[in-house]
Amino acid sequence: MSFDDIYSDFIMHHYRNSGHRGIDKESDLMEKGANLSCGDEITLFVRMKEGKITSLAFDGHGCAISQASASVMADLLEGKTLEEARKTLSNFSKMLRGEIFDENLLGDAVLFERLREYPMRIKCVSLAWKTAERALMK
Amino acid sequence: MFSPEDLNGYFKGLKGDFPIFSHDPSLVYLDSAATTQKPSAVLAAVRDFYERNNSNVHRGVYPLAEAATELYESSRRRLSGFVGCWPGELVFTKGSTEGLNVLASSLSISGDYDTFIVPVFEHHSNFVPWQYHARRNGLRFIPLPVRQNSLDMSLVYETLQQMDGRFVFSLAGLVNSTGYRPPFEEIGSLVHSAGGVMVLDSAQLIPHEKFSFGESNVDFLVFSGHKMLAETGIGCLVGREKLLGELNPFVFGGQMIDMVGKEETTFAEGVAKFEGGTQNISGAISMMAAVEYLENAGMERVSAHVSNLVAMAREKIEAIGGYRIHSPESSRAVITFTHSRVHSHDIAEFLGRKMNVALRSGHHCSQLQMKELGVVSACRVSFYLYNTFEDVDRLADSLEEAGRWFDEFR
Repeated sequence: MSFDDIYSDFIMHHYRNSGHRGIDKESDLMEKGANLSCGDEITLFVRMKEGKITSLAFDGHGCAISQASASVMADLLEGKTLEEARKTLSNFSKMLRGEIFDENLLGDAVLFERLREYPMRIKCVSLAWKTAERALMK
Repeated sequence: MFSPEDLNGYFKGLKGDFPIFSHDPSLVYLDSAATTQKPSAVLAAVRDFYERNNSNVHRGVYPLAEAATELYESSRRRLSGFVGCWPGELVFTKGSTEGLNVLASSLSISGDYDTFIVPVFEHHSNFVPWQYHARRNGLRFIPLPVRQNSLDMSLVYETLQQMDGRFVFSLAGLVNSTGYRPPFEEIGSLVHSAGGVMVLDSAQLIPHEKFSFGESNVDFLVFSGHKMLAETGIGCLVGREKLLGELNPFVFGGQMIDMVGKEETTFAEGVAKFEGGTQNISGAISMMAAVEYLENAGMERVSAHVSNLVAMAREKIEAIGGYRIHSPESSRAVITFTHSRVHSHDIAEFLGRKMNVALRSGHHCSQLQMKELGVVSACRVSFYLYNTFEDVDRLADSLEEAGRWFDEFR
């Protein structure tokens, strides 16, 4: 895969202008995640109302792929019920593991499927998603 | 001595000995600290062994077995000559990591030591085994603090002064993550004055510097074949004969025994005690071919040329805005750096996929050293004899372009 496939306009757009970046002091749920193999860290801030995710923000540092992935995930999960969000997260995991998944649930996030071939970068892609799983499975 | 330009011309001429560069002529390979490329002479030696002399060693009495044994043992003699030890002091291992594991395990259960000291900038392979076996066997483990990328010699002195002689100090000859070359000669003397045992992890040192174990203050030395032009899965553990004799075997099985009884077994004498099971024979032969290649090229020339490349790269990286070098001024073979705004993986992807320049990103198996440098991950370039000034130019141009590309997206 070429550099431009990985660092596509889509990824770079989310990396550059994520509307979800920042610390949310009013959040209902906060979860930290880290990718020890490259030192990336992320903190997710989730606001819930009547069983729905009303806002998802993230703060931390990492490569363009991990940051873009967090942003795409936040776009996708906002507005979903807890149950829908869990389904989405488990479908994303299935996609990265190469199992059968429901792409209708994943929206733009299906674009990360191509990174499945890059074991070195899977951890970058999945950091935010794994962290969200821990936050929402509680 | 040759001028930098002469040396560059000389090594440019040798580049053709490395087939990978004929298959991929635009490749700029700057990850030799991880593993080196292999010259045709090494590949031919391995192939020749399998085609003409393949047999197990030290077992059969037929001529083919004898030929294989002779090749294996002459590899041991050749390598001993290369690092200045006796053949009876050189054990073949899978590599430096195994050597360090043998040492940490055997020294921790010997009952002769109560403390292991290891600086925190070490590669995980020279840190975790000591930490693990010390904890497990009730020894004291001292993770020696460092000052950013270097040893704090007054702290070394202070620590060693408090020792009572029952300790092991394990140190890298050249630190993989930064290229720092600690003053191991001086430290070896201090360790010996304090009655301790000195281990030198030379995985990075031996490929780059003429070294004589016999003349050194080192008691145990480990190094790896694949970081000095040979195959993976082969390396050496060198130790003073008396100390090796006192060590417990690590891998039990065929070839390392003397007499096997129903209740007890006695072990072979000398290096055989550590070479249980069928060894990596072609690996040993590849190491013999590798040191022949290095000696023909001239170790002093290799050292000088690599130093020239490092100096040139340092100057060029410093001249590009946005990058910060974390290696010490005097670093050898390696330069480690970060970009102030772009993650090391992003830089490495850009260089690798867009420019065909291979460099490393991450923590370089040295999480504690990265912490000490105040970064979570960094880019590392490491040079060897097949690199040229042109490679350094390509590196500098690519780094500049990578910085620009990612900055445009901000």
